[in-house]
Amino acid sequence: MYKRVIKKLAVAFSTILAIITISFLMVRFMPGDPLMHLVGQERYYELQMDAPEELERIAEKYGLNDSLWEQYVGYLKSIVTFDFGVAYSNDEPVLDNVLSRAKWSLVLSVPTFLFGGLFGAVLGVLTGWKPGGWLDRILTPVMLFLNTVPSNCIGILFLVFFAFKLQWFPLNGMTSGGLSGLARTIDIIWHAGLPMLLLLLFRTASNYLLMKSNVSQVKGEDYITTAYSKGLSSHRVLWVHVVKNAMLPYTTSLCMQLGGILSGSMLIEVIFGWKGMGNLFYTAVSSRDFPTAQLCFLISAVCIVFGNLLSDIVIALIDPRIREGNFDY
Amino acid sequence: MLEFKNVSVRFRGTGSLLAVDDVTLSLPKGSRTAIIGETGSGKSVLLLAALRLLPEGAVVSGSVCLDGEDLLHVGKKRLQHIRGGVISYIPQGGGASMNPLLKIGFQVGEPLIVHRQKTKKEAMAESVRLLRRFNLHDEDRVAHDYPHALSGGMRQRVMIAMGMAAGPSILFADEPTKGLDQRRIELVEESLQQLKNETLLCVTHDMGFAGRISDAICVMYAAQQVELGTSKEILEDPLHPYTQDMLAAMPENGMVYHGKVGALSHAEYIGGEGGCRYRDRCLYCSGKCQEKPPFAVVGNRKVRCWRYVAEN
Repeated sequence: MYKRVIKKLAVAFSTILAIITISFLMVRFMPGDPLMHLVGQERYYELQMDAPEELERIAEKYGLNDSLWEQYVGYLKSIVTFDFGVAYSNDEPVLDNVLSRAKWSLVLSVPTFLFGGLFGAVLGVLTGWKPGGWLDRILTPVMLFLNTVPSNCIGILFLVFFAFKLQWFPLNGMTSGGLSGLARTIDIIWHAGLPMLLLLLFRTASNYLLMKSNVSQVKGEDYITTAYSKGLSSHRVLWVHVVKNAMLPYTTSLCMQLGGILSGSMLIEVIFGWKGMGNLFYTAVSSRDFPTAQLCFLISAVCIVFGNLLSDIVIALIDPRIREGNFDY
Repeated sequence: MLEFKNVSVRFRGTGSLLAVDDVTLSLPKGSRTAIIGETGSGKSVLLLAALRLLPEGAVVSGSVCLDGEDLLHVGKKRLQHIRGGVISYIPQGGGASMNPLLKIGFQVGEPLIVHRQKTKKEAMAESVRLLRRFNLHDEDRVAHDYPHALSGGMRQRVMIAMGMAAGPSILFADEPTKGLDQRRIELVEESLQQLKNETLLCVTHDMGFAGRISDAICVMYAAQQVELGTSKEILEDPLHPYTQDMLAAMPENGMVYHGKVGALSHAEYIGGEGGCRYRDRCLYCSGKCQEKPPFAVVGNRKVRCWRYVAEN
C-alpha cells in the first residue's frame, strides 16, 4: 500500500514537472518575441518606438538573454518561491489575483460538489436497484437531458427565464455592493442562487447516471445471487453487498471531479459574471494576460493531477485487490 | 423431505422454450442425490428455481414442497428464513461467486448473522471453525483475507463452509467440481463427506464424482429427466441410451462413442414438442420415437425411453 502511494506520488510529481516544462517551452517557442508576450503587444510596440533600452532592461530582468537552460532553472525557481509575476490587467501579483478569485470559485463549487455527490449517489442507488419504478421513469429522462445538453445552453435559458422574465434572481455579478454584515451574506447567496442551482443539477445528473449504471451492473453479478441464497433481506443485500461495490467507480469519479473544483465551472462563471477562477482564466486567455493564464493553467493542472492521485489512493483503500497490487488501474 | 412436483421453468421472451420440463423428484431426509446432464440441460436452473433465485423473467410452475410447504408460494419472510437456514445453495465456484470487497470470514459467517442472530465478531470466530472443518488450512489467515486470494479449489470448499454455516438440513450444490483437477475434486469430496444428516442435491457433469458422493442419480437431457435410480444401478447398468452413451464415453471406460451426431441443436430439441429428444443421437431410434416417451417405471427405476415401455 505505501509502495503504491509513493509510486503514485512520484508519477504525480513528474506529471506536474512535465506540465511546467511544456508550459515553459510553449511560451518560449511561440512565434514572435517573448518580450511581446511579457509586456503586452501595445506596450511592446510603444517601447520599441520610444525606448528600446527599456525593452532591453526588461529582457535582462526576465533573463531573456540567458541560455534556455538558465531560463528554465530560473523559471522553476520562481515557481518554487511562488513568484508568478505581475498580471497585465491590474499590475498586481498574479498569485494574489488568483487566490482572491479562487475563493469565489469555491463558494460555488464546494457545496455543489458535496450535495451533487450526495444526491446523485442516493437517487442513483434507488433507481438502479429498482429500475422501471416510478422514480426511475421520472428521473432518468430529466437527468439524461441535463447531462446531454451543454451547460452554457441551459445556463442561458435559466438566465432568460428566472432572472429576466421572472426576475427572481439577479442577472449578473456576485453582490449588489454597498452592503455589509449579514445583509451582504444574504445578498451573495441570492446572487449565487442560479449558478449554484445549475451546477448542482449538472453534478447530480452526471453522478446519478453513473451510480445508476453501477448499481444495476452490480445487481446482476453472481455474488448477489449468492447473497440472496444465504437468506439475506433485499435491504441487507443492497446495503452490504451492492452499495460498497457500486461506490468503487463512483469514488473514482468524485475524486476526478475534485480536480476540477477550482476551474471546472468556467462556463457557468462566465455566463453569470461570477468572478471566480474559471472566469479569470477565461478573461486572461482572451486578453492575452500570459502570467495570469499560465498560473491558472498550472493550478488547474495540479488540481487535476492531485484529484487523480487521490482517487488512486481512495480506491485502493476500498478494494483489497488493488491494495495488494494484484491488478492496477 | 423435499419434493419437486412437475416443475417447469420457462423464460419470458423465449417462446415455448422450457429450460426445465416437468421434473418430478423427491429427496427423502438424509438422501444424497446427484443430477447429471450436459450444460444447458436445465439442472442448475432447477436448483435456483426451488429457492426462487432465478431472474425476474423466469416463470416457474409446479411445486417444490418442503415437508408439505410449497416453496414457490411461501411469503417473503419465510423464504428468507428457508434460504440459508433450512436449504443452502452452494453456487458454482467461479471467481464472481463471492463479493470481492468483503472478507471471506464475513461472507462465510453471514448466514449466522441473519439466521442465528450472531454478532459480526461471533460470526467471524464461527467461520474460522467452519473453514477448518472443511479442510482449509491456515483458516485464520483465510478468514481475514479477501476472495481474490483463494484458488479455485479453496473457493469451492469455502462455499461449502458458507452453505453449512447456519446449519441447514438440505444442501444444494451447483457443480462443485467444475474446473478443478483430480486432487481438488478429492478435497471437495472429502468436504461433502463431512455432511452427516443433511440432505444433499448436487448438480454435476462428473459421473465418477456423482457415483462417489450420491446414492441416487437423476440424468437430465434437454430439460427433461431421462433416467432416475440408485447410483449403483445407473452407473453399472444404465438403461437409457443417453446414459449408456455418456458412460461409454468416459475415459476409464475407453472413451467410446458410436459417432451418431444429431442434426438439431439443443434448443431446437427443447422447442420441438413431442418425440424423444435424444432420437437424433440414439442408436436404437425407431418410428415410435417421434412420439414423446413417458417417464415410465422400470423395476426400481424410471426411464424415459420407448424401449422399456414395451417390456412393461
